[in-house]
Amino acid sequence: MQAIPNLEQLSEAPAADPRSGPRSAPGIVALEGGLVQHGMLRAHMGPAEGDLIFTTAATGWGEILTDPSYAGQIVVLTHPMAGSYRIAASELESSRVHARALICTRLVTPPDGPGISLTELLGEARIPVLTGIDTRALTLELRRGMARRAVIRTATVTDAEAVGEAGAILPWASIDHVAGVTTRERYTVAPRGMRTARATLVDFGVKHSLLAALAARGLEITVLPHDTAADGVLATSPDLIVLSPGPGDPSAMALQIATTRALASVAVEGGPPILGVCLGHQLLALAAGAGTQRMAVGHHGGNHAVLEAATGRVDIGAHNHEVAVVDGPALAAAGYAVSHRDLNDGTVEGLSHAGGRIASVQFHPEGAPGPIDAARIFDLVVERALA
Amino acid sequence: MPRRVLVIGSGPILIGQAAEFDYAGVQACLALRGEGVETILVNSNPATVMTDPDVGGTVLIGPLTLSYLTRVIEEHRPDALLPTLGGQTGLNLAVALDDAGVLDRYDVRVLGTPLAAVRAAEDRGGFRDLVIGIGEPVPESAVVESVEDGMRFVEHLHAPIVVRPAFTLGGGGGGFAHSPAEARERIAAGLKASPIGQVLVERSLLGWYEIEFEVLRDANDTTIAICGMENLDPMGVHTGDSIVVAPIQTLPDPLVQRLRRCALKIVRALQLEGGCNVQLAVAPDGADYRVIEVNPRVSRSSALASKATGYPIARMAALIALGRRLHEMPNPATGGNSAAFEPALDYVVVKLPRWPFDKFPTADRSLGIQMKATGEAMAIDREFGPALLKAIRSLEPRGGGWLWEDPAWGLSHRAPPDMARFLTPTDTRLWRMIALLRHDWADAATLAAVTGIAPWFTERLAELVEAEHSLIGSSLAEGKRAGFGDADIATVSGVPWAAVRRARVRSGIHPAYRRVDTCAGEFPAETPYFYSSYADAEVAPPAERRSVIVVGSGPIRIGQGIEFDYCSVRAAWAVREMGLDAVVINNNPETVSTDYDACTRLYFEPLDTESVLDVIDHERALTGAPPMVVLTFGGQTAIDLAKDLAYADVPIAGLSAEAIEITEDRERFALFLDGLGIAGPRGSLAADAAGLRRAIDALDGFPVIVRPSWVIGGRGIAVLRGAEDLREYLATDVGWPLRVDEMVPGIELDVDAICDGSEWSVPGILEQVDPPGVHSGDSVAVLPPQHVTRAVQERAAETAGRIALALGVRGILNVQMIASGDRIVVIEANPRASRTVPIVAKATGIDVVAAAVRCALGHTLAEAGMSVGLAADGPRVAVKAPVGSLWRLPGVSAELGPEMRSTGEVLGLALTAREATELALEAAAAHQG
Repeated sequence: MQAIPNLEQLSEAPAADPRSGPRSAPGIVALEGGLVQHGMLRAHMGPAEGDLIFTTAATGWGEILTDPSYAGQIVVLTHPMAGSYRIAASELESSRVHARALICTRLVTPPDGPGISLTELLGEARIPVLTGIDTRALTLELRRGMARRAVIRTATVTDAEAVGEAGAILPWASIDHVAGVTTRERYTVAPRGMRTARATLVDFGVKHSLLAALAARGLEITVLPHDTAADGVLATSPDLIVLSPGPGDPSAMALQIATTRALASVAVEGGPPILGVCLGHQLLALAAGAGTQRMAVGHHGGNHAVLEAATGRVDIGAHNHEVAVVDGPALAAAGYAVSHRDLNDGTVEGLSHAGGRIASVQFHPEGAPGPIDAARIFDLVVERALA
Repeated sequence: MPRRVLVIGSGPILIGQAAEFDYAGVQACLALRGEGVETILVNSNPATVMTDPDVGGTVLIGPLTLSYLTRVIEEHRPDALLPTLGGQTGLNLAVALDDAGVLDRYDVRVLGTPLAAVRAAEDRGGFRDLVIGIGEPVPESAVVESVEDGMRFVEHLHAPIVVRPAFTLGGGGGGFAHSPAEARERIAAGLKASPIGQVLVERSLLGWYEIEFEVLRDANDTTIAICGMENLDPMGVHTGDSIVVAPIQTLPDPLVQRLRRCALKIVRALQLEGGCNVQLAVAPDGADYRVIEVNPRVSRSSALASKATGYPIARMAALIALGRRLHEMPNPATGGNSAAFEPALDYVVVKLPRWPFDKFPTADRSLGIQMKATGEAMAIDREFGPALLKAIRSLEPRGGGWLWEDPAWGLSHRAPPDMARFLTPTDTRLWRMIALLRHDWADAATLAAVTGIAPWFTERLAELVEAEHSLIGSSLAEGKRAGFGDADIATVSGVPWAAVRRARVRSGIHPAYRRVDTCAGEFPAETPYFYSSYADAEVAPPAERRSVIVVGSGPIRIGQGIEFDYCSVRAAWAVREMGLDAVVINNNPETVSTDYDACTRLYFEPLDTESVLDVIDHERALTGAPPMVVLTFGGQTAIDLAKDLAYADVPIAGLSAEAIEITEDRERFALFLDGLGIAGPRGSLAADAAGLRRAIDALDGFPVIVRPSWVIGGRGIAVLRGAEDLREYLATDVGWPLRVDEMVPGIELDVDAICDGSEWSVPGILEQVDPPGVHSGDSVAVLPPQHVTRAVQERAAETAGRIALALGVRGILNVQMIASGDRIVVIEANPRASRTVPIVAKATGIDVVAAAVRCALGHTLAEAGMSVGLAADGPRVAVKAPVGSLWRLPGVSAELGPEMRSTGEVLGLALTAREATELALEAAAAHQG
C-alpha cells in the first residue's frame, strides 16, 4: 500500500486549534428551488457550489469527505453531531478531500489525542463547513427529489441572489468529475501476504478501502488512469479487471463506456473476468446497451439491505450512488441478470453475466464508512479470477 | 406454523426486570394473533396490559413456577412455546420445562431461539468457548464451582476481578474485588447466589467503555443491528444503572463497524432466531475490545433500542419466531418494502436511570454491577445537550433538576478534599460533575480522567455549564435552543417559571415536533411518534378529530409502578374507541404506553408543566380545538400537573384542581368529610415537636399515624407506637407541619368508584389483609372482602360514591377506608386511578379504565356499560400479594411499615379465597431472592 501518495503527509499536518482566532462567519446555503438556510461557515470560509446530497451515516466523516465519488457534491449529514472523534490517517480514502463542502447541525471539537479533527481536515483542504443548519429540514426537502444544485456563501449576499447563483451553476451531471480524481500515473498496490493473482483496476475515483480489500485477498493490483484504452488494460495481463467506483453521471462517459464494452466482450470470450463496483457497475450496464438514470433520491449511508437473488442472502451494505441502472430488457438481451436488489426501493444493486465472467455491484462491499457484511463478494471474485 | 403458542410473562416488577417485558409481551401477543395464531399467556403480574384477554388471548394469571406451567400445558395443550419475551424469568422457566421433560411429553416446540442457544449464551463457560471459537476476544476468566478454584485463578491472574454468578437476574450476587481477601468473599457470595452454584471469575475491565448492540436474526440468517448504544458510565456500573446514549457518539466508524461485526458474528454463531443483546467493552484508546455478555432475548436494552429508533424489536422477534423472514416483511415504520434495514437516527437519545434512594435514605447509594434502579426515563433531541437536559426533567426531580446540588457537598466555598472519592459512581455522580464544573473546581479533562468517562461526554457537560453561565445576558431563544427548561431559566434569572413561559409564548418561542421515523428522513414515514426540539417546524400530520391527551406516569419507582402504564394504555385505547385521537405523553422507554402503535400520536417528552403545556399548544394548533387532558391515569406525576394546567385554562377531563386540593390537604379533607357526615380519623396538625406531643395526647396517646399533609407512596409516613418511636421519628428529617391521626383499628378497604357526575358505580372492593399501618401497596389484599359483611361493603361503596359526587369527579376515585365494626372511617381519597385498578379489572373482567375514561369525557355510567351501585360478587376470588426486591439494596431494612417497600405484585385467581391465596403466595415465592 506504500504506493498510495500523500496519506501520511495529511495526517502529520500541524494541528491548528480551531478555537483560536476568527474561524467562523455567518453563512448560508441556497438551493436552486429557493430554499435558504442560515448557519455559520467554519474551517474554510470561502464559497462553494455543487449538488446537495444527504448521507444517513452517523460516523465516517473522514471516509466520506475523501471518497472521490463525492466530487462535485456538498454533503449534508443527517446525524446532527459531527466531528466527535479524531480522524486517523487510515480512515482517509484518498489523498485529499473531494466533497465541495459539508453541511451539519453541530460541529464538535473532539477530545485531544492522535489524529486530526474534522475541522482541521476541512480547513487544510480549504473546504467550507456550514454548521447550525437544520439538516433534517434540508433532508426532508431533498427527499422530495427536488432540484439539488446549491451554493454556500458568506451571508454577505441576499437570499435571492444566492438562490439565483445556485440556479446558474453547472449541473453535476455535465461535469467530467472522473478526470479530476483519477490517478494520472499507473501504480501498483502490493498484495497483503502471498500474491494469489494479479488484478488491474481502472481508476475512476477508487477508495483506499477497495484497494485494501482486494490486496487483503492476495491480489497484486495495477491501477491505471481512467482513460486507459482496453488494449492498455489487457496489456497488463490481469487475472481480474476491476472497474472502480467514481463520481459523476456515467451516461456521459462515452470513452469509458467504449473501453468497458471492449473489455466485457473479451471477458465473455474467456478473457480476464471483470468486477464492476459502483460507477464500474453502471458502465458495464451502459456498455451492454442498458440505461442508467439519476435517482430521485440517491442512496448514501450504511443501513440499506441488499438481497442476493441467487442465494436469498440479505446483507446490510454501504451505499453511495446518485445514479442507478435501469432494469430493462436490454440487460437480459446482453446476458445480464440482476443479481442484487435494494430491499427498500428495488434499485438494481448488482448484475451478473450469464457466463459467470462479469459481476458488478452498485453498493460498496468494502464499506468505509459502513458495514462490510457482503465482503464475501470479493472472495468469490478472487476465486473466479483463480479458476 | 404453530396454532397455539404459550407465551411466558416475566412476573412482578423487580429491580432488573420491569415494564419492558409487558411491552415485549404485548407486541408479541398482538403480532402472533395478527398472524392468526392463538396465544396462551401466563403471568402472575396483574398490572400488565398483556394479561388483558384482548391482548393475551387465553390469559392465565398464575404463578410462574414449573408446576403451574406444567399444569397449564397439560390443560391447554399449546403446540409451541415462545420463551424469549418474559425476561430471565421466562427463559429460566423454558429451560426448566425442558429439563423436566414437559416440553417433550406434550410435544411443545420452542419457537425462535432454540433452547440450546439459550443455554449456550447463559452458561458462561460454554459461551466463552463459543466466542473464542469464532475468534472474538473475551476477558480472561475461569468458571468455578468452589472458592478454592476461584482463588487459584485469582492468584494466577494477579489483577482485579469481577464475579458473575450464573443464571441470576440483574447481576444479583456479583461484584468486583481488588484484593485477594475481597475476591474470596465475593466468590463465596456469588456461588451462593447462583441457582446452579457456578460463578464466572474474570478479569475486571473497570474503566473500559461499554457498548451494546441490539441484534435481530431470522431463519434466513439475515442479521441486522437495530441500534448501537453507548454507556456514558464506563464498565463497572451495570448498564441498567448507566446513563445510556444512542447512537454511539464517541467511536470512529472503523471501530463501530468492528464491534457491530463482532455482535453479528456472535448472534450467527449462536443460531439465534429473534432478538439479542450483545455487550462489549472497548479500551479507552480504542485499540482493543472484549465481548462481555449476550442476552438471547428481548430485554430492557431492546425496549430502549426500540423506543430510541422507532423499530419494534419485540414484534419483529415474535414474527421471526413464527418463521417469518425480515426481508419478506414490510418495514414496520415506513410501511416500505422490507423490515431488513438498520435504523438511522438523526437525533440523540439519552436514557437516565431512576433510583429508589429518595425513599431509602439509609441505602448504600454506590453503583456497581448489581443493578439498583427501579426505572428509567429517556429523552430525544437533535443534540446531546438538550436531550440530557430533557432526560433530567423527565426524572421529575423535586428541587432543581439540572441546577440541583446537595448543600452537603459544600462546593460553593471549597473543592472536595478527595476528588476520586467524591466522584465514585453513585446516583448523584452526574450532578456532582455538573457542580464541579459550575464552581470551577474541575474541568472536563479532569472529570474524564477521574471517572473514566469518555472526555467527549464531560466536554458536553462543560459546554452546558458554560451555557448555563451565559443564560443571563443571552436571549430566551438561545437558552431554549441550548436545552434549558423554563424552570431552570427562571431559577437562574430569579423570576417565576410562569414568567418565562409567558415571555416565551409572547415571543412565539416554542418547540417544533420532530418525527422518529427510523430512517433519518430518507423515506416518507407515518410513524405517529414525536419529540420536541427547538428547530424548524416539521409538517405535522393532518388531524381533524378532537384529541384527548393521556398524561403518562414517567419512570417506574416504588409507589408508582407499571399499574399506571396499564391504566394509561387502556385509557388511550378507550379514547380511540370513542372515535377521538388518543395522544399519549410519556418518557419511560420500557412501557407499552410509549409504543406508538398504542395511540394516535405519541410525544416522548418530560411530564412537567412546560412540556405538557407545549404539547397541548401544539395539539391545539394541529386540531384547531383545545384538547381534553386526562390526568387520572398517570399516577401522582400526572395529578401534580393539575394546578398548573388549570391555571393555564386547560380543560382537565372529569376533574377539577379544587377536587385534588381538597383531597391532598388533609385539613380541608377533614372538613369536607364532616360536611358529608362521613367519619374521618380524628387528628390534627402539628407544627413542631411540642405540637406533635400535644396532638398525640389529644388522641388519647399512642399509637398514631403521622404524615406530611401531602404524600405519595407513603413517603414520610410513620406509625408511632410509643415514646421510643416518637424519639426516633423526631431524629429524622421531618417535614413540618405534620398531620397526626389516630390509628383506627379495623379492616382496611380500598374502594374504586366510577362516577358520571350524577351516579356512581363500584366494580369491586379490595380488603387489605395486613393490619392498618402497613402500606396498602405492601399488604396482601383480597377481592371481594372476606371479613366484612355485604352490608358493610355496600356502605363502603356508598361512602366512596358520595365522596366522588361531592368532589364533582367524573371518572375514577380511589378511597381508602377502615371498617371498624360497623363504623366506616375514611383515611384518604385520591381522585385518580390507583394501583388497585388493574387488580379490580382482572378480578372482575370489567374494563374499569375504559368506563372511567368514558365518564370523564361526558358519557353516563349506562353509556359506559356500568351498572349503578356496588357490583355483585363475581365467581372468582382474587388475592394480591406484594413482591419486593429490596434485597438488592444493601442498607435498607425489610421491615414493613407505612412506607411502601415492594416493587411489584402478583395475583392469585381462584374460586375460593384459600386457593387464590395459595396461588398468590406460590407466585410471590417464585420471585423472592
